[in-house]
Amino acid sequence: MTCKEYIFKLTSGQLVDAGLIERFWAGQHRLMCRRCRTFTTNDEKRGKAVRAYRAHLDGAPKE
Amino acid sequence: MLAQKMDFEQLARDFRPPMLRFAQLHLPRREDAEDAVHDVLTAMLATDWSKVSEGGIRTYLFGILRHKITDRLRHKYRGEIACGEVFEDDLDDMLFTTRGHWSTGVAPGLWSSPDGQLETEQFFAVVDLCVNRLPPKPARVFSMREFLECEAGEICNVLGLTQADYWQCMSRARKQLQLCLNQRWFGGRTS
Repeated sequence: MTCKEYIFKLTSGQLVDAGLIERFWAGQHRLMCRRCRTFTTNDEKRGKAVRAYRAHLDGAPKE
Repeated sequence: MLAQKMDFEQLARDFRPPMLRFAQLHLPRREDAEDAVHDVLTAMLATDWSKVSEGGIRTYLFGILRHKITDRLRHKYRGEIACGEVFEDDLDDMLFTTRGHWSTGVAPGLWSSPDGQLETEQFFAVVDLCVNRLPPKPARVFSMREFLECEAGEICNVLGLTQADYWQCMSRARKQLQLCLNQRWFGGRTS
């Protein structure tokens, strides 16, 4: 798996529904690649920020 | 009973601005956003409020608004979107080498803001800016997923997308958002 393939699987949302084998290879790639590991950690923060922004927009209590 | 003490004018004054702001995120034309909010306010008058708890008014109104926005998107954009073919300036060409590895100096560095800083008005203003800088088509798919909380299947159905188009749009939006936030909030460091 290349960085480009890994990042696409992550950002498209495919990894969430992926099977065990695909998630295993994604995990292997993450272990080997510092940049993809960093991107993944940032993406989790990005998701959290967007959820907070959504709550801010509709005035709902923060998660 | 909630219905007996309901002040509709006050409710409209309280909820119209946040609903309009939310609607405008998804419906580019202000008239469409105003129409969606107007529909919600009209529906509010016909609501049986005895079934809605006082604390659930906001959730109830935004629930209707989400449906009104989705209906408008369904009519407006069905069959128009195919994300794979809209990016002449393909972001991936900038991010990755021809062998699929990160190009030098473009991968974002690790974000280190404390969580609390990511819930401030200033940060939300940056998120707003970055969301609004997304290309229109990925922006529409992304906002339906993240802000309207639609499932992937529903988004594909509403917008007439294939699963592959949906993945392309979501990937493009999330990659660009991370790059934008990295540049505008996290100091633009790369790894």
